[in-house]
Amino acid sequence: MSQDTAEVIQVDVPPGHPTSPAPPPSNPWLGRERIAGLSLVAFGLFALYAGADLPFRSESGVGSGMLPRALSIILIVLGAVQLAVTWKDRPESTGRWPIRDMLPVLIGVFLFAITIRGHHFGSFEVPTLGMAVATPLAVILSGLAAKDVRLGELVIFAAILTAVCIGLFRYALGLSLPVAPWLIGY
Amino acid sequence: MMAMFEHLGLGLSVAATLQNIFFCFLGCLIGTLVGVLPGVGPVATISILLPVTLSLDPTGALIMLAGIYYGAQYGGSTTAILVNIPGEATAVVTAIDGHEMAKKGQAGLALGLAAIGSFIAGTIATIVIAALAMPMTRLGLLFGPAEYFSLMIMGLVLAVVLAHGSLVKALAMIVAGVLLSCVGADMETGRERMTFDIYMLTDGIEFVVLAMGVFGFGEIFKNLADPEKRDVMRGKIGRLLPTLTELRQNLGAILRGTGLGSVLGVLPGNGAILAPFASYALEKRISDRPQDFGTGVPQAVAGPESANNSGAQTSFIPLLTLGIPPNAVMALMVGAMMIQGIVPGPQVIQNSPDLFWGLVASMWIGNLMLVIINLPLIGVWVKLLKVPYRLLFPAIVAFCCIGLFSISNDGAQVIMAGIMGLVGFALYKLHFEPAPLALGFVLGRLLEEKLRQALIISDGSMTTFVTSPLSLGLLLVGAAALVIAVLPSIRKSRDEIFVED
Amino acid sequence: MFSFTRRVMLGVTAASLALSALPAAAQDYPSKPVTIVVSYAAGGGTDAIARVFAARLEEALGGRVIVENRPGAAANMGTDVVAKSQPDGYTLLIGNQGPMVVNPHIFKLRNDPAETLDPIAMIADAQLVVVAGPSLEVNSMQELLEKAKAGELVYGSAGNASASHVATLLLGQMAGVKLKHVPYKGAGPAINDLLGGHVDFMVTTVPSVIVLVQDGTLKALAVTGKERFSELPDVPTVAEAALPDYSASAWYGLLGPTGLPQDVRDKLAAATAETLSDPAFIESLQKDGGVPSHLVGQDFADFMAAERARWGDVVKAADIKVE
Repeated sequence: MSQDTAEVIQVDVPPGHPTSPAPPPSNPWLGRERIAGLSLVAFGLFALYAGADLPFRSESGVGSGMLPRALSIILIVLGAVQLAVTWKDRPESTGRWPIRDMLPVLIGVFLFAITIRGHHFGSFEVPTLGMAVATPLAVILSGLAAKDVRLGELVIFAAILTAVCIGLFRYALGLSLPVAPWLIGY
Repeated sequence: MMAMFEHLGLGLSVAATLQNIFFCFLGCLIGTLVGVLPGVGPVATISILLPVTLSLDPTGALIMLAGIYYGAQYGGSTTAILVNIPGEATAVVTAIDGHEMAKKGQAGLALGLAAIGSFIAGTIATIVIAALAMPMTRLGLLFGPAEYFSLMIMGLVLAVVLAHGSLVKALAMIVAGVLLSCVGADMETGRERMTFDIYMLTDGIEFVVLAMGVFGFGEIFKNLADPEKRDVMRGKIGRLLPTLTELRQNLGAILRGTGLGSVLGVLPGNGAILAPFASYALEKRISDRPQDFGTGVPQAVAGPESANNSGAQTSFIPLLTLGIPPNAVMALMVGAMMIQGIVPGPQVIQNSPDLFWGLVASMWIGNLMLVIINLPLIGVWVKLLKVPYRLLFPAIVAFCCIGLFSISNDGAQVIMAGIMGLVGFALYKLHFEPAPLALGFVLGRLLEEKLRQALIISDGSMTTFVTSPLSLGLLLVGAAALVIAVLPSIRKSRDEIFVED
Repeated sequence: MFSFTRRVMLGVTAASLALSALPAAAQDYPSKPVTIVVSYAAGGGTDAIARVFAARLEEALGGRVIVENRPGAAANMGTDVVAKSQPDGYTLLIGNQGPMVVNPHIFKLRNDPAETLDPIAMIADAQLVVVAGPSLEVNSMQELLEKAKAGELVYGSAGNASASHVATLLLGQMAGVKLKHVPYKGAGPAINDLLGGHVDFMVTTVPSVIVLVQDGTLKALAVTGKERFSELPDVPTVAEAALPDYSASAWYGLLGPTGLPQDVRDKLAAATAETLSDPAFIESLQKDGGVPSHLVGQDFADFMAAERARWGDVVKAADIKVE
């Protein structure tokens, strides 16, 4: 159903439909559906552990731990059902997990978060650099993640976008975001 | 009936002055902008603008603030359709099929149906407010904690219908969503739950952080991982506006959505958020081809969008008739009214009918204004998609970061959303659908709150949920819906396994 | 710390640039925008008061005043942010009784407001009102307490440890009756359930119910302050009606980090006093059920200490504590 036209590229194939050319199976002994089931069990166990200290019942009946614990157990059961239902199926690969391709975006987001208002890492201190620095950092770094990146274009785009964002968020909407405290005081 | 039209006439004569139309336009424009920008909600905007409105006359000020409110409701769906980032809970539903339509080159149709559906819904909801405000108020009061809990259970059952893949996985996502909503201080004792002493988790996970992470960043990671699979929109754009035939095909969905939204909108504690979900479930249930839902069905956008808008509109009813704000935006409207020296409530209708009916009429004018502002904008939005993806996604990252930061002026929220993005990517890889997760998360908070309130009142007796006829009725509807949903799904999932082999 | 551009523009010599890193002297305070931190998200009652206050303070101070919302950690986040900031008068806090005097008894705090914050001036004091739902057949505070003695009554509150909650706790403790608490998220949903008869009564802010009281839907039994409220002249205080020493109110004040220079403090206190004498500000406070307060400096600190001790006893007796 997805191979009709050449220039129209299918974006995400709805689950349950065949995916286009699958890369060589990296984990043929487990497969997507079993990993899914195991993840559910793992998440349920983790939640049980996280909420282990909470009282199940209280004076009024429902303790703060009742719902979290009940839900964790349901999740583990659902994970087990998922494993049981899909056990006999031929394992299907989950495809590539190219974390390295995403890394620039994650770094960009992280740098934005620590520079916009500054941050303390023990004795090392990141000053409050404001939107004027944090925005282009986020734009340029995440832009590097694209395979077809053009650096000159990206830098100019980042500069324009930063100006637009400052005008829009700070001046048009009046949000109290730091713009460039080192330059204009706020 | 005649009286109602007289009243609306009075309202129109107040609202339709050049000055008020200007305020209405300004409000809708700001609202659309706020809605389109992910993370920046109407609550923050209205509270910032509140001191500014002090200098305006009361009618103008309220008309403008109301314009921001429903402008934002509408603007949010634009972002959901175009880039798959639902800025608030109600847009999660729009994103499911709306974004699929955009990927098929039907962004214009999706946006156009959303605009026109919202307008029709807004028009009908305005009449509902004018004609049925008092009986609708009494309906809202019938819902105590027990009834509300049963309604939420019904809502969670509807969430199963949102999914189009495996039933087990959909259920797991709902449960995981409810579980995530439990993180944070306990509402009854204040005790921290599953927070690992992480400070920002004390007040729970922000919905916007979850949504922008799993949907927004998740989508970007997905596209970066599989670059060959992204960016269909660049290929073809399609028509900008729906044809008359398409409108006729969607009219039923729009009207059904409007009805659901109008009723759910008056419920206390923001019952309006259920409206789009209920509409989606209904459309999928009565459709000839339910299996197509999730792959870009116009009715799945038109119905929920109409439900969303009429719900947003009728949630004014408790405010106007009782002075009780059902959500944060309405609480701000009360603040605005008080600053202007008007105390909202039943007396407003008697003491200042011009203000009351002016506000009601302005809702209709506001909806008209939204269509006027947004239909031409559709062309602009769709052109935005022509921006090469290598520049589009860094821009989305920047807007998301600023929006996330502005929630509580805290960089930690931005980092949290980045991590959620990885979770979103993993969900995509494992073929889990994020929409039921988001719904479980939103309803989970209300579910636990109402469960515990009901049990405190009943001294811990579970029978409270079946002794109230309304509550029992809702539970039965939920049970019936579950049976109807589960039976074909089991059959369907078997078919799918067959297809995959 | 990098705020010297303004001076550069004024053409001040390079020598004074080095001085700009020192706390600003009062004569040029404020030389950059002052930030007032609010511990709640935009849109709440404290936020509304802070914004109106900030707009007036801007005129009195002659410099920009920005309101910044730092919600989180049960409203303790704002306290932390201000406690950790430079004591230069550019980062201030609008504190209210929740995070300032109730939370220290309930939460493990990273920064105790009594030690890390410096009270500058109190702004307003807003009393609450006791309202009974339409289905509860009582007409006075006495009748309510008698009914509560006969059988357990259910009350709604705007949230755990909110002013609405602790004021009712005190009521129950002083009257010696057991009451059942149903926490809601904000006053709105609680009032809705009060109207629907799902809870029996509640103590809430005046503006949240005044219309419903005036048109007779809800019965106002008493106000919680020391004096009657001007817009509800027929409603007695709790002290008059039933419990002689009872008083409870929600209050708001301006605080900074400890170690503020005395001249900056004085300037801020004077600007606050000027704001509080502005009739327009007084009127907008009155709409919120509040009256301007004139406690400054040590008097405000003493008031906070007394409140803290008082609510500490109430909270301990009710045994709400987070382990």
